[in-house]
Amino acid sequence: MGGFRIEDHGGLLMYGIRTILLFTITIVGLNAAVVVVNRELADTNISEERVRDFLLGRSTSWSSGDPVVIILCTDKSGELAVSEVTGRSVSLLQRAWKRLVFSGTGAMPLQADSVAAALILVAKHPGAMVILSEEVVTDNCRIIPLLPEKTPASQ
Amino acid sequence: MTNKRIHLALSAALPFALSVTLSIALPLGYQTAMAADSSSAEVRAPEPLAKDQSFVDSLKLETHGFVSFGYIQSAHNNWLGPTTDGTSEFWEAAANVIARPMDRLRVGAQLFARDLVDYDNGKVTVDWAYADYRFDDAIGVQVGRFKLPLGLYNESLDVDAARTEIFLPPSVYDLQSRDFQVSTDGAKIYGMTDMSGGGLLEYATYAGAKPYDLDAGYAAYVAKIIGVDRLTRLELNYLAGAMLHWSTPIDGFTVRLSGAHLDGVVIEASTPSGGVQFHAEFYLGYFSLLYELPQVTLATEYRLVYGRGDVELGGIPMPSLVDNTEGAYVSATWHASSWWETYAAIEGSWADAQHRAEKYAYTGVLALNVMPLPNWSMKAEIRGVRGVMGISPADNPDGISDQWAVFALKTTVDF
Repeated sequence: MGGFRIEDHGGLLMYGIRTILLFTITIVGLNAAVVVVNRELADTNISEERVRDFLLGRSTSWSSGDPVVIILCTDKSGELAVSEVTGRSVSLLQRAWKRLVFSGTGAMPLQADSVAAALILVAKHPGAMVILSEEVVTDNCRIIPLLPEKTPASQ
Repeated sequence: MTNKRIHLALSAALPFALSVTLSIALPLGYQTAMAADSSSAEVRAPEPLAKDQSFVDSLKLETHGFVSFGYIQSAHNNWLGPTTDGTSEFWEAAANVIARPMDRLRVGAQLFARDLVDYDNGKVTVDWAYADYRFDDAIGVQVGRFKLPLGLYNESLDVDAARTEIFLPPSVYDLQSRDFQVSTDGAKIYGMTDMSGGGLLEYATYAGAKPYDLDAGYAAYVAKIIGVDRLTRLELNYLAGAMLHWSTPIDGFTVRLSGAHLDGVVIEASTPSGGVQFHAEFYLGYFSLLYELPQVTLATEYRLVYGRGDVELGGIPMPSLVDNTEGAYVSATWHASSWWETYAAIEGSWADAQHRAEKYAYTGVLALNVMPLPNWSMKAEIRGVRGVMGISPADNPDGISDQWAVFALKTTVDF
């Protein structure tokens, strides 16, 4: 009975350590934006500046010249990533896009209320991209590295 | 009196009820559609992609719209019409359709209507209707009716959902003559270039002309100044303009220069003293600074109008038309959270930039915007003004007060 109790404490201790580690990894993961693109896209990486330009409607083309299809993920994962890359909340970003849509200078990005919905849209549209704050694995999309500084390769 | 109160109560309650209904129904419909989409697959394994698309799907159609209702009450002076007793003649609505039939091609049109006390009275107009082809980031072409990129916000003049305050600063964005400066029929070339470390430079240049409605804002505004019920002619030979917008290497800090030349403006009206004719040309210049921080937006803009022309009354030459109107503002918006924000601004406008003391208005503005839902906003704004610029003697036959104020409420729903 006593051994069981010690083992139980050990289990709890390990469980606690694992929980803290997982929590830390999750937090670290949430702070790093991930760019998920349609798998047919030729680009192999992208700079933070370029993602910001896409999300703010300033730039509309990939390096190949193909048009960008922006997917806005409005759940927590998308919120964190948008905030990290643009310095703006998703709600502010949506309002900036409303300005473009109602002034006749742009079309609304496609929006998804979950990561699953966002990935379906990315898979469906050539040239599509979404930024998330979690790693995902899909067959029809792929993740490209987000470069913190602008490099020639990302242009 | 009782009937008037019932009317006022209904006019306030009905738009509010409609706004609430729309704001709840529209996002629910949107979320349902998204949920249906997302429920069909797992995160790790999206559904196989459909290769065939119907014609309608291939157009990638999207529709958007908004409707706003408001209330204006002024103290000491009537503003934009009879407002000292309060008025709910303050609403606007728009609906648009945008299609993307090809990768780089976008076509769309928007209908717009508004009632701003004495101006526009709900008449439906084509706000914009264009075909836009973006060759690449560096160059795109837009033909049709498009909004003019003057200042930071002329293109989004009516997009209440995109700002905190109810009124864009009238010192820079004319409220009454919206139709005159908001759009044109013609062509626009635009694009952007990455200045590799020096930020981004966006540009636009355009030219065109469009017919003006003699019952709409600018014509009604000029008719009120001249003292006639209605103009008999309002035409423009052409307008041409350009815009440069520099997104500096400082994240969120942008600088914009914009301007337009309005050539061959002809205004005619019949008065008891004979026909009045104006032949003029105008130059508009804007300088704008915008600093968007995560929770704070700072903006300042300056506008100068330079107008020169000839005036004839009954065929007799009169003193020349001289327009040196000048305006500026400084504003700060605090985006406190995703559901509320506040705005404060100081505005100044002068009838003559070379003699500022003659006729002016200095305005202090405070506004609050509460957003119960992302597509529903409720706003309140107080404007305290010193000076008579922007006040029409025709609206105030008993005299004009040098110090006056405006209180406004507005709710907007968009989809």
